Amino acid sequence: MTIKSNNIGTEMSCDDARDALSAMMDGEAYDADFNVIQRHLDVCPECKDHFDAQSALHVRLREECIEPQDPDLLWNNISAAISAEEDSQRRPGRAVDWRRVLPARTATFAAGAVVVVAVLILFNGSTIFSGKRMGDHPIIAETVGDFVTFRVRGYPLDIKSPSRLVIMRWLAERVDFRLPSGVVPPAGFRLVGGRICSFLNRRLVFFLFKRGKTAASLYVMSVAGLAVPDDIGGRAVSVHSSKGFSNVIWRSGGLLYVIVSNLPEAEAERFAKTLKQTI
Amino acid sequence: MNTGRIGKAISGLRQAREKRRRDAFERLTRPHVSALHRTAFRMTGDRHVAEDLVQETCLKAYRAFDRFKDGTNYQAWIFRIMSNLCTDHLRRTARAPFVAWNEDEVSGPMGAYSSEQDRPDVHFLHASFRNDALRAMSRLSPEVRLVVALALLEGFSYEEIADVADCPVGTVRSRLNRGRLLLQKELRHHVPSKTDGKESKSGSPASVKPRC
Repeated sequence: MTIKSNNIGTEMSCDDARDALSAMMDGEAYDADFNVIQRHLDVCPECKDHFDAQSALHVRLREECIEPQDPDLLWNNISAAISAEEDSQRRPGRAVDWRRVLPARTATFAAGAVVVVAVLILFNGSTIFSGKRMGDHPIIAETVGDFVTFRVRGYPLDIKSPSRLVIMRWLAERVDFRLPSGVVPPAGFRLVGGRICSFLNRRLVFFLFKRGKTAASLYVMSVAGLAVPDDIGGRAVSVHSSKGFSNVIWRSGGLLYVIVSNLPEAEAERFAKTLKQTI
Repeated sequence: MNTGRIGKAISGLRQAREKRRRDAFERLTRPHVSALHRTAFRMTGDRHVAEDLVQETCLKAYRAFDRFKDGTNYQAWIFRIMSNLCTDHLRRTARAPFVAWNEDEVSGPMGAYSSEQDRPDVHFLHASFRNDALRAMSRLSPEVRLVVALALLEGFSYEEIADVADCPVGTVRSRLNRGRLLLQKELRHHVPSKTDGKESKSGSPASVKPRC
């Protein structure tokens, strides 16, 4: 530090004194600084006040800005991301291998569900979907149908990354509506990836979440030009079931959100509510 | 038959090597994840973005782990990766508003108050200070913000910060002083000084210009 004279006749200017005080508070002042600082503070009440205020701020920042954080949860997510990357490197070109993550029984059931959907389509969907049962509403039937087809056929995800940011950015560039910036996986789940799909006469964004062998998808679409009854897509979540899958729907900010999952209905509802809070 | 056995043995050795690598990475990295997250949060002002950045940091570190030299400063190495990712993120989102307000924090815990800190009025004051501190941090340049976050809030030495920020110790010292002055100016309603509002000779908070 350069010691120079200043306007109050000490050997250190106020600027230099404050620079040295800042280092002193971090225990980083040079040995020579201490005496010079002390002499400066003795004759400069302004720097003394400054020092008191800085010390108080230093203490408050240290004491109050330590946000509680669960390091285990953080580490689990990191560990899962590393495993996912190692997995994808071992099996290049395969986005999600459902045969590995799903029990054989579920896969068989899903295959059956595809047959059911195919039969429904053969028998003119519009007539069948006009029925009163909620599970037959096109929003429910088509999202569940897509989910089942995706799983059974093993369609690859368009984007797969351990980073939520990368996934969000990639998907947001490919739709003409504004994706919410949240979409944070509820505890225990991780966002695996996403894809762009087209049905209900529009482009939709599909997010895939996983927790062990449990999978949950979130479809996000614009409600423009879509007839959405309040009992299906209101502001509060509504829970349905179709072809053995839980289906949770809500509407917010001109967008419709649909969860399809093999989680039991109550759990799917909790999943949706937690996710909704982050959007 | 013989080939199959050899193949299995090689595969076993490879798995063992991967496990050792992963264990070594966890041993070195895990103690730093909380500090990485806190620093990324203070750099970006968004808890979830911070989580993503820490995840990206760790993935990047894991990919490059073989290049890390034993005996060198691992903390500085991984924090440098994180600070580069934060800088990239801040550059990309330069126009996005800083998200510091956390309604959950401000509304406070529900139900009976288990401690003085849980009382809504006390909780609000603490949360309000934290939010204002984050907003004040967001007004610092990323270079100054990083130095402030590491020194004031994580207790890094200047030498460690110089390693992370890739600059001389003298630069750390001056950035920190500048950061402190600006924080004091922004947070003076929380921590007032006797000279607030008065004309100062030089460098006092009232006269600090946001030159960083």
